[in-house]
Amino acid sequence: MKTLKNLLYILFSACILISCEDPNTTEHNGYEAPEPPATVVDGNLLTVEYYSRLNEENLFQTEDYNAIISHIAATSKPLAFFFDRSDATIGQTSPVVNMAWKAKMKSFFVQNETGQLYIQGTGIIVRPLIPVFDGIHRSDSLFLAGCTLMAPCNQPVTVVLSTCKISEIYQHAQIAEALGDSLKTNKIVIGTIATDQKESFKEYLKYHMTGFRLAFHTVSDIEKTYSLFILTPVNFVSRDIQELSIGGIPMYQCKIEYLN
Amino acid sequence: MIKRIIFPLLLLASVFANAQNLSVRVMTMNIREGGQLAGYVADSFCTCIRKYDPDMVVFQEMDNYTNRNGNKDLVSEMAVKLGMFPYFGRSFAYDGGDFGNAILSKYPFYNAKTITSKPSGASEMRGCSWIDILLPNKRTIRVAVTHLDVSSEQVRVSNLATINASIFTGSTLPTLLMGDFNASPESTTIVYALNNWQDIGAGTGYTFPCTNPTSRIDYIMGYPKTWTKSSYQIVSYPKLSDHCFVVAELSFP
Repeated sequence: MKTLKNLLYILFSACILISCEDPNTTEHNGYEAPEPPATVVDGNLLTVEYYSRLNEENLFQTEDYNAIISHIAATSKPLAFFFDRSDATIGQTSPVVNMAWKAKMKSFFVQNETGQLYIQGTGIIVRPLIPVFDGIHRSDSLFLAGCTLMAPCNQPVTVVLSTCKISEIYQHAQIAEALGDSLKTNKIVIGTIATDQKESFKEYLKYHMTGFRLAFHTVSDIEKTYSLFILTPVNFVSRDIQELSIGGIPMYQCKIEYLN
Repeated sequence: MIKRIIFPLLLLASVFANAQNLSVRVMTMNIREGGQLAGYVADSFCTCIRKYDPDMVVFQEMDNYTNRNGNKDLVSEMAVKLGMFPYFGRSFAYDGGDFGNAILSKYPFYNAKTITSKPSGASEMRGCSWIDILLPNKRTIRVAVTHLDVSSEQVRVSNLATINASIFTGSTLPTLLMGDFNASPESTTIVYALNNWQDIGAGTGYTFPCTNPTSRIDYIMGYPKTWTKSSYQIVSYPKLSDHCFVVAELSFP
C-alpha cells in the first residue's frame, strides 16, 4: 500500500512538473531562420538610408547639412531616412525637423534617453503623412519607435520602419520583450549596437524570439565602436548594405527584400 | 559610514524625483482656415506662442501644403522657428494638400497616432491626433487634439465616442484632450464628454468669437479627472483667428 502511495506521489509530481514546463523555455537549439531564396526580386526591395558615424559622436558636428537636404529632396527611392545621433537640444531647432521642413518631408525623433536640456536620439524623415508613429519606452533605458509606411513593392506592403540604439546588455531582454510577436506584423528595426555586443544579442534573440532574421554591418575602423543591425520578420531579408557618404556624413544604404 | 548615509539619501531623492507632479503649460489654437487671417504666416503665430512659452501647443484647422496657404508646411515651419517637435494629423485631403489638426511639443514624443471618423450626418471627416511624451522628470503624458463636427450634437457625440474608444485602448496615461468641440458647456456633447473627461476650464469665460465672445466652445479636457489648474487664460488675437486661444498651466498628481 505504502509502495503504491509512493508510486502515485511520484507520478503525480512528474505530471505537475511536465505540465508546468514552459513550452517557450524547452531546451532546444535556438531559432534559426530558413535560408532566403537565392534570387532577389528587385520589385520587392525596400531602400532605407541610415546616416551614422557608428560611434558616440553627434552626427551633425556643424549646422551645415544642406548636402543631405538636397540629396533627400531629390531622391525618391528610399522609404525612410534615419539619422543616428541627430541629438536635440530642448528649445532649439532640431536638425532633423529643420532638414525635413526644408526637404518638404515629415520628421520624427526617437530619443535614446531622457534629458533636461540635451537629448540623444535618432531622427527619422519620411515623405508621406504618418497616421501611426508606433513607439514604446521601457523606463528611460530603451526607446523603440518607428513609422508605419506603405512599401511600394510589387504588391504594396505595410511595414513599420523602427529604430533603437543598443548600448547595454540588459537592453537585449527589453527588446525581445517589447517586440514579442510584433515582428509578425512587419516591424523592421534598423539601429546601432555596440559592436562588442553583437554576438550576445544574436544569442539572446536566438533563444528568446522566433520568426526573425538578424543582420549586422560592421565597419573595420577602430573609431567605429558601433555596428548597424537590421532585425526583420522572417518574411523580409536584408540583402545589401552599401557604404556611402553625403556631404561628408557616412550613410549606409540598406536594401531589404520583402519575401512573399 | 558616509556610504550608509549617502545611499539612502540618493534612494530617497530618486523616489522623490519619480513622485514629482506632472506639470505642463499647454495652449490650444483654432487658427481658422489654416491661418487665413494671419496670411498663413508662421511668424505671426510664433510671436504669439513665444509669449506664453507652452510645453505643448495644439492646433485645429491646420493646412499642410495647400494651394491657399502657398504650399507650406506651417506646423513644421513653426517647429523650426520655435525649437519644438511637430506632428500633423490629416483629417481629409483639401485644396491640393491636407487639412486637419497638429501638435507642437517642446519635448520629443515617442508615440503618435491620428484617427478619423465621419458618422452618419456629419458634414466632413473629423480627426483626433495624439502624442505620448516622456517628460524630463520621467512622467509620461498623452496630449491630444480634436475638432468636433459642426453639424449636430449626435454627430459630435459619435465623434467623441470614436475618440474615447481609441484613445483609452491600452493606455492609462494621464491625458489632455484639447480643441474646438463646437459645443457649449450645457450641450449634449459636453455632458457626454464629462462621462470620461474633466472639463479643466469649467466656469471660465467664453472663447468664441474672438472679439466680444459669446460662447465657450474651446476646451481643455483631462483624464483621469484629477487634474488641477494653476492658471487658465483665454486670450484674444483677432489678427490671428476668429477663436480665442486658451493657455493653461496644469498639473497631475
